[in-house]
Parts: sequence; structure tokens; C-alpha cells
Amino acid sequence: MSIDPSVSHLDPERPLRTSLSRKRIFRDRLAVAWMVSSLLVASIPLLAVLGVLAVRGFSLVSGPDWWTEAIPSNVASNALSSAEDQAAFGNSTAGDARVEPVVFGMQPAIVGTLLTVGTASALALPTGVAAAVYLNEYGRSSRAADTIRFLTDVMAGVPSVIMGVFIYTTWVLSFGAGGRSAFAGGLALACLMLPVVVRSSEEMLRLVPDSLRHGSAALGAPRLKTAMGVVLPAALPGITSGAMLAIARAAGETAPILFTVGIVSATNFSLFGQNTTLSAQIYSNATQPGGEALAWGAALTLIVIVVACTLSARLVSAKFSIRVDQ
Amino acid sequence: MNPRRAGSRRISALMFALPAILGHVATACGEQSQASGSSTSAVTSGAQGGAEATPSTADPDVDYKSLSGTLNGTGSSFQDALQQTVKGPFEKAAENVTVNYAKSGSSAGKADLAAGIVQFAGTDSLIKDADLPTFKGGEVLYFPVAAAPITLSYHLEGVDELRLSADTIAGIFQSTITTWNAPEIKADNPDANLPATPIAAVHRSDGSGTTSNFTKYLKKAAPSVWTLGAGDTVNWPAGTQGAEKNSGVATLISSTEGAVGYVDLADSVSAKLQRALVRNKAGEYVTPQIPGASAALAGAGIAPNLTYDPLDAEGAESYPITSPTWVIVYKQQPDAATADALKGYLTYLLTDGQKLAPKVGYAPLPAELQRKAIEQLARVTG
Repeated sequence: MSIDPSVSHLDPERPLRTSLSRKRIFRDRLAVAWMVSSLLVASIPLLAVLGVLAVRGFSLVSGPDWWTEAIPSNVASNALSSAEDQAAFGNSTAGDARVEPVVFGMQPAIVGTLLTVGTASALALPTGVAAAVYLNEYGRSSRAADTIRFLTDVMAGVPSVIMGVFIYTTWVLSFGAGGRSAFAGGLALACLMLPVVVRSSEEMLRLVPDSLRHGSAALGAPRLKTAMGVVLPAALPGITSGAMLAIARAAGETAPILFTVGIVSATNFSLFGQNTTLSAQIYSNATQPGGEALAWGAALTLIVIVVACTLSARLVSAKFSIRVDQ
Repeated sequence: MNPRRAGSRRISALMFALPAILGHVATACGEQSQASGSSTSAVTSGAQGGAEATPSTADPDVDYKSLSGTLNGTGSSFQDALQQTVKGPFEKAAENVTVNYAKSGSSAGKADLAAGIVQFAGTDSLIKDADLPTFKGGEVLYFPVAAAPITLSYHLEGVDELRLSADTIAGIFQSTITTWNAPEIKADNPDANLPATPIAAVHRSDGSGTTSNFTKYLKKAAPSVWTLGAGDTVNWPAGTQGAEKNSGVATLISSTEGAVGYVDLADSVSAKLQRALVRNKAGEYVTPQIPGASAALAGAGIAPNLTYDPLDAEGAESYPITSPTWVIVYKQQPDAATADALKGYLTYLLTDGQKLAPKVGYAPLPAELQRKAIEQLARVTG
């Protein structure tokens, strides 16, 4: 492609675009069109999931019963109460249509999810961020720090069900009848969250420019004060994003929950004693006759809770972070 | 590059503040008092053929109001619908008791009881002798709670009635019979107009008590054809398809023309599938319904420990693939309150619960088995 020396893009008299060849304009447009259509295609599954959840789950989630009532136990018997189904069972009870209406409630799972994920966050977030501060501000590339990094990477790759089995054997089995609890679930989820929090926080701390640390040190701040008062607030938005990803992942886990928390239908506000979570309810209700509505509602509730957590975390982090104006 | 609002020491504490707890979860769990919901919502169980279930003859007097505690149970998904249906009315009768039942599969339920994590477990199969030492709570008691037919559900346009014998079923699930117009199926259905559609045999992909009882039946009733043995899982031939849980099998059948699979009655009815008649020991083709299961129960021998085997039972009206199911508990309970609550729930399950069983597709226990089970309750001590 030969460039006409008289048509320079530095020529102030001529706009930039006309200085480009037709072929390049075409390529530019093609690339933009490709990127925009890719964005649209990528958002289809996301919007489809949200749309289906909203349509199927909204009628349940919007009512007050959903947030205040126990999980119904007469879903299956109601779903199978039609005269046609009773005839298929071989029952001669066509006239007996005394059916109690199902009160769709999900309070036990909502409380259980908050307790379980809350425990996991309380355990994993402070330790994870503190570990990241050590790795980036103190350990750097020492042998100990490298070992910890390697171990967290290994831990991040461990399937969630193995964390469930680990807590099941070490905690649940040793407590017998009181073993399954929101606290045990919190322990398992904390094990899952910890490596995600450590690695994402460390990456965020690494992005904080050294000039901030130098400035802080020049003002006479000790290392700890620099780390806690300057570096950490500067990296806060990124750390929050990482923490939210870890929380969202933990809230959606089902396999370790089945081992460690169980499935109940009455609300348990205590950290101890069997409990249940939204993901476990989705799992158990999706395969129950007539239980699909409960599963859709639980799925929508889970997303609502995760979104609410993310938004509130963003607000909190925006309030307390330092903006670094480059 | 100015750090704004630097140096706030409280940051480190505040930043970990947990996401807000939702405000509107204050009201305690709903104790809705529906007048109609008394424990005696009379259902006349349609046991037309075979054993007539007459609960209440041995009805022990239990003061349900005096019981308290939480009973956790896990296990058989086969009896989940029964547990869920009985639990609601029981919790209304015994307001201070909470019952939780989670379907996790018979094997998982047995393991949970062995470890003492739950107070009771549901199972469709017996504890293996080799596993008995792992039950650290001592002697385990079997309480039969119901039985139900395992259906052969199918999806085949234009065939409204299908009759199958044990040998034919064994052939289908071993992939030796591969089309619907095979001579073996024609021999069972001389009048039906069978298409040449290939058969898609659907089985459970997860370990299952339903698989265990289905394969036990084939081993017993078709010994010359069935070679895959019996168990919670078996080595299915490559031509068959797997699906998870009873509901998964039902869904796969309803979406596949020419499919046939073994599904419990409630899931098959719920998925609106067609169900085949199965030839029993007496040579009759019986529909998979509660009367047939009740007849099979009546013909089943009862062992002293209350285990019973209604598979391939005698009797012209017996449905041959009738699966038993039990609740298992430790004879020795940790304390008197737990023992009383547990005995209360089992009493309810064995009396009023039996009246609710047919509603969700289970055959109630015959009178003799019911009486023996209620008598055995006295052995549970705190």
C-alpha cells in the first residue's frame, strides 16, 4: 500500500478519516461491527438467564409469604391431587378433593444462606486480605511467600465437593447429631473462598504504584501504617470486586452444602443445628413433583441476594477507597 | 497523585463489614393454623385388590402435644414424597417437633445414620452385613413404612397398551431386544400394532435403590436372561441411556420417541407417561397401581426383623416390581426426649401416615406388617 506524501494525516486542513484509504475504513468498520455483534451475542445467555428467572420466579418472590414462611411440605401431594392422577395411582378417591393450598415460603433457605455465606465471609475475607498484604508488602518474593502463593494456587484448583468432604470428615462427623450446621457450611465455603480472595487481593495490591508507598514512607509512616492506611484503601475497589466474586461463588455452591449443612424446612436462626441454603433448595426441589416453582423462586432469590451484596459492597468501597489520580 | 482521605485507621475494620442482612426475615416460621389440616383428613385408600389396609386397630395412644425436639432424616428419594406428605400434618399434631427429611439416596442415608448425624434414615435396601460394624450407635431397627410399584414407563406413539414379561424386560435392558416390533414383544402383545421404532432403554446414572430393586426383580424373575446382576448400580450395556434420579429418567422418556425406563409411580404420573402392564408370577399382566402393590405386599413373607420382599410376589393380582422401603433407627437413643419424639413420628407414619400414603402413590402396609411395626416401637428406648 503506497502512501501519498501529499495526504498526510498531520495536515490540519484535512480531516483524519479522509486521509485513510477506503480499504482501511472498511476494515475499521468491519472490526467495530464484529466487536459490537460479539458483545450482543455474549449478552444473550446472560439476559436469557435473567429473563427466564424473572418470569418464572417473580410471582413467588414478590409476595411476603416467600420471605416469612417455612418451606412447604405439601408440594408433591398437591401436584398429584388431580382426579386424573389419583386414578392413575389406582385410588378410588375421585370425590375426596380436600387439598390444602401450598403456602410458598423460602425463609429457612434465605436465613441459612445468609448465615452460611456470612460465616464464610467473616472467616475468609479478613484472613485472605491479610495474607495478600503479607505476600505483597512483606513477603514479596521470599521463599515463604512463594510457597504460600503456590499452595493457594493449588487450593484454588481443588473441586468444591472435596472441601465439603474435608469439613464433613473433620468437623461434621466428630460432632455427631449436631455436626451439620450453618457454621460447618461456613467453614467449607471459607476454604473455597480463601484462595480466590488471597490471589485477587494480591493482584490488586500489586497494581498500587510504588510512589504511594514512597510518599507515605517519606512522611515517616511505618510499614504497617503504609500498608493499612494507604496501599489497602487504594486497592479497595479491586479487592472488593475479588471478594464479591468469591462470595457469589460460595453462595452458589451446592455440593459442599449437602454434606455439611443439610436440608431442613423450618427456619433456624442459629449458626448451629441443621440448616439449609437456597442452592440446596434449588437442587432438591427441581426434581420434586410440583417443586419447579420453588426451585425457580429460590434461584431468583439467590441472584437478588448476590446483586444486593455486590451493590452494597460497591457503595461501601467507594466511600472508603482512595482515588489515585495519575 | 494525591491520596485523598488517607490514614483512616477505621477503614481496615469497616471494609470487612458483611453484606447487609435482609430486614424482613423477622417473623418466626409460620405456624399457619388451618382448621382443615387436622391429622385425620380421611382418605379411603383404594385397596381394591389384595390386602385391605386397616390402620387404627393397633393405634397406640400418643400424646403428640407433649413431644419436643428436632428429628433429622436423610436417605431414600423413593420415599421422599411420603415423608414430605406426612411431615406437615405430623408437625401440626406435634407442634413442638420439627421433622426434616432430605432425599440423598439410600446409601447416603445409611451412611449418615451409621455416623450418627441423623436420627433416622430412609432406605429401600437392607444394610449389608459387612457394613453393620460401622453403625456406631448399636442395633438398628427396620420399620417398614410403605411399598410402591416401580413402573416401566414408555413413550411410543400409537401404542396405548403395552404388556411386558420379565424375560422381555431383561432383553430390552440388556440391548438384546432393540426394536419395538421384535418377536419377544410381539409374543407379549399379540393384538398390538407395534412399530419398527428402535428401543431407547433409559436407566439411572446415579446409585439408586430403585435400580437395586429393579435389577433384583430381573435377577429373580428372569434368571435365564438377566446376566448383569443386581445392585445400586450395574454395568449397563452401551446401547442404553442414563439419567439422574427418577425425575430425570421420566423427563428423558417423555422427550424420546421409543424410550422405555423404570420410574417410580409418582414421577411417572407426574410426567404423564404411559405405563406398561407387567406379567406376574401367576402369568397375569398387572397395571402398576397401588392395588397391585398392596396385593404384592400381602403375598410377601415377613422376616422377624420386619424386612420383607414384595418383588415377584405370589398372587394373581400382585404387581411384580413392587419396591419395599423402610425407615431405620437406632434401638438405643441418646436421651428419652429424642426417643419419645422419634417414636411419636414413627407412630404417626405407621397410623395416620398410612392413610395419606395412597394420595402420593404408595401402597399402605398390610394390617399384619403394620401391627408388627407398631409393636416394635416399644423396643426403641432413650
